[in-house]
Order: sequence, then structure tokens, then C-alpha cells
Amino acid sequence: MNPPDDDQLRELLPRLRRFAVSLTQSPSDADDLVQSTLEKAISHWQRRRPGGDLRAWLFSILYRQFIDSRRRAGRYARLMQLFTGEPQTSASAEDIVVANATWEAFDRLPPEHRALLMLVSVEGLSYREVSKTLDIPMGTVMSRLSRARRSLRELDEGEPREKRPAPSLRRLK
Amino acid sequence: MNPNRPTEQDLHAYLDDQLDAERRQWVSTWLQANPERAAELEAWRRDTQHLRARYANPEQWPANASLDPAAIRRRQRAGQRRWLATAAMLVMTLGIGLTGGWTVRDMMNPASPPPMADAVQAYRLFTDSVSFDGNTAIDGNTTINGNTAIDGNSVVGVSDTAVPEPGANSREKIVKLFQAHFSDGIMPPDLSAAGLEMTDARLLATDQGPAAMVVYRDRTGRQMMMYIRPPGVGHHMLEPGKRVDGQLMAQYWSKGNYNYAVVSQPDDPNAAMLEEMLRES
Repeated sequence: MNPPDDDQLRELLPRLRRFAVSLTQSPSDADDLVQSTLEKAISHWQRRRPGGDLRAWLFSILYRQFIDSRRRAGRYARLMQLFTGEPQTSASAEDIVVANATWEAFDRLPPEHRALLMLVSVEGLSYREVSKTLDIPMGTVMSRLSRARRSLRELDEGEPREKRPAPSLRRLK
Repeated sequence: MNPNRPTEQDLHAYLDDQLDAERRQWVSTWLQANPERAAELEAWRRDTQHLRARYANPEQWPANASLDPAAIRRRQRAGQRRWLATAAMLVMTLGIGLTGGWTVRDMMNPASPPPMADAVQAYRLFTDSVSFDGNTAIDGNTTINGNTAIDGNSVVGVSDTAVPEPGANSREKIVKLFQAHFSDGIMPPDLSAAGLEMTDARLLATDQGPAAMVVYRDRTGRQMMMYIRPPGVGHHMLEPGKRVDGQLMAQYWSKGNYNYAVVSQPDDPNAAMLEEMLRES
């Protein structure tokens, strides 16, 4: 296996940053995430599947790093709560997003839905590639995609799901 | 599932252009006949286009030099060097600590003498200076408890009894000496049948209590010695062993409340016999 090709990585850098921003919703956090992704990719270059899609491989590292950091943050928050007896006062990025109604509907989706829509709609990955990248079964990709698109619609229209009649399309499955 | 209607999965795949041409055509035809579903799909398409527009042209975002792969690899190498330097420093510190600690330990606890060194010293001191045939002024009447000097060179700290000559009388005195000071110890055996006579017996003082030596001499004048003493500091018992110290060999072991040694010339066959008799007693 060849050593990391800097040009290949540089070429994919804007897409990685874009995916990272969609997940972290903060440009500086996104760049931190991209940096840790590239560090991991360079040091784990030997483990890369020969002939595999470099972009999908990098996206999968980035997504795992993001999920791991969220878990760590969650554990930290629980630990702090244990010591202080109070919920953490500094809200997570997620809470801020949800609270801020002026933000776009997409930003108010859960990160799992944002990741899926970014990879399918913006990056144009096939469902199978998305399944591998996010490490979820194909069935989950399809059901999550359906939920993500419907949630996005509802948020965009400002209507909570409960008030809407169940779409007839759901009965087709 | 109604085969005449596309599934939800078909509709998403249609939107994402992930259907083959034939199925795509079929869904397209179906949508024309189902405007409500078509409208929903159209809304999803607008959302998708909106999302694409929002995240278009990321290559035009302000560059961040720290994300350049070459810079990241440089930082990784520097990090590894720092890590190695830290590890080397830790190893060195540990080494200095261990060496220093060991040196201090050695300084505080001087090397312990080899096992039963006192027995070998006693042999050297008394078998050389005092021999049965020697001309030293041995008082034939010296008793076990007597402090009468064997000769003018009697060693300070040694309460001794010299047995001037072999015989029943000497044997009796030695038995008394052992009974008085080593009541549960092993008596020196009578080896006269093997041509070995007891020529000297002495009570010695050690930090841990009384010790004693008994010298045997064969017909050729060769001498060997039985030595008994209390265990060392901390009731230190000896692993059975032997060692050669200069021209002498010491065989040693522990039994009961005492340490024993047989000190002889290395090639003296009687020493093995004596050791065996003592150990089997």
C-alpha cells in the first residue's frame, strides 16, 4: 500500500469540512474534527481497503470520530452532573440548535439524519456506500432516509408531526 | 406491498437517481397519475436542492493551513519525537533512581559475610595457633568454666576450654560443655574408632549467643572442625551448602535451633563422614 497521497487528501479536504460542518454546526469544531480525521487516516493508512473509495473511507472515519466525541461529551456531562448535582448549564450544540428557531430546519434534525441527508443528497453516495460509511444496515438507511426527509419537511413547515395526518405513503411499506 | 404502486424505497431511490432506467420510467409514469405523491416528492426535491445550494462550493471556504495533510504529518512526527524524548527521559530518570537507590542500599547495608565465615575464621585462628602437639602452654586442668588462658595469646571475647589430650576425660568435658550451652544441639560424635581424636574444644561468644568449635585430628595430623552456633540476625537459617574459602572448605546447614559447619581441608575424606554423621543425628 502506498503512503498517504497528500494531493488526494487535499482534494477531498473541502468535502470533509463540509460534512464536518453539517455535523458539528460550528466551523471551528468542524475543522478540529477534520484534523483528527486526517490524523487517524494518515496513521491508519495501512488498514485502508485496497481499491476502496477513499472519500467513503474518510467520511466513515470522520463520522465515527464525531459519534465518539459526542459520547465523550455526554459522559463528561453526566460526570459533571454527578459532582454538581445539576444539569450542565452550558448547553450542548444540539440544545442550542433546537432552541434557536431562526436556524434552518436542517440544523434542527438529529445528527444521524443530517449525516444521512448530506451523504445521499449532497455527496451523492449510493445507499450501499452510505450503509458502509455510517455502519448501519441497508434497511436502516432506507427507513432513516424516509424519517429524515419527512422530519425536514415538518420542521420547515413549522408543523409538529403529531398534528399532521400520517402520510398515506407510509402504509405502502 | 402492492406491486402496482412504488414502495417508499422506490420513491426515495427515484429522487436520488438510484433506480435502473426501466423502474425509473415506471415510477415516473405512476407519479403522473398520482399528483399528491408527486407533490410530496417535489417538496423533497426542493429540500434536497436547498441543501445542496447551502453547502455548495466548500472549496471556496476560507482555507485552514493546519488541515493540510503535510502539516498534519509534520505535527505527528514532532509529536512522536516529543513522545520518544519524554519516554527516554522517563527511562533515564528511572535508571538513575534505581542505580542511586541500589547504591544507597548497598551503602546502608554493607554486604553480608558469606555463610559461616566465623566458623572458617575460628578454624584458622585456633587450628593454626593451637595444636595438640604445639608447645603452647595448655593447662591440662582447665575446666569448661575456667577462664584460664590456653596461652598468652588467648583471644579477647573467647571463653575457652582447651582439651589438652584425647581421652575419656576430654570427651566428658566436651559433653558437659555442650549440655550446658547447646542442650538441644547435636553432640560432637566420638570418632576415635576411625582414628580421629578430639584435640580442642572451645566455647566462643557471638552476638547471638554462645558458639563452640571442636577440632578433630587424624593420625596424619590433619585437622577438621565441627562448629555450632545460634542462627544469625533475624533467626536466619541456612540453606545447606558448601563453599571453599582459600585453602579451606566449609560445609554448612541448619538444624533445630542451630547452624552447623564442618570446616576442613577440601580433600579431607573425613569431613564428609563427619558432616553426614552430624546431619543424620
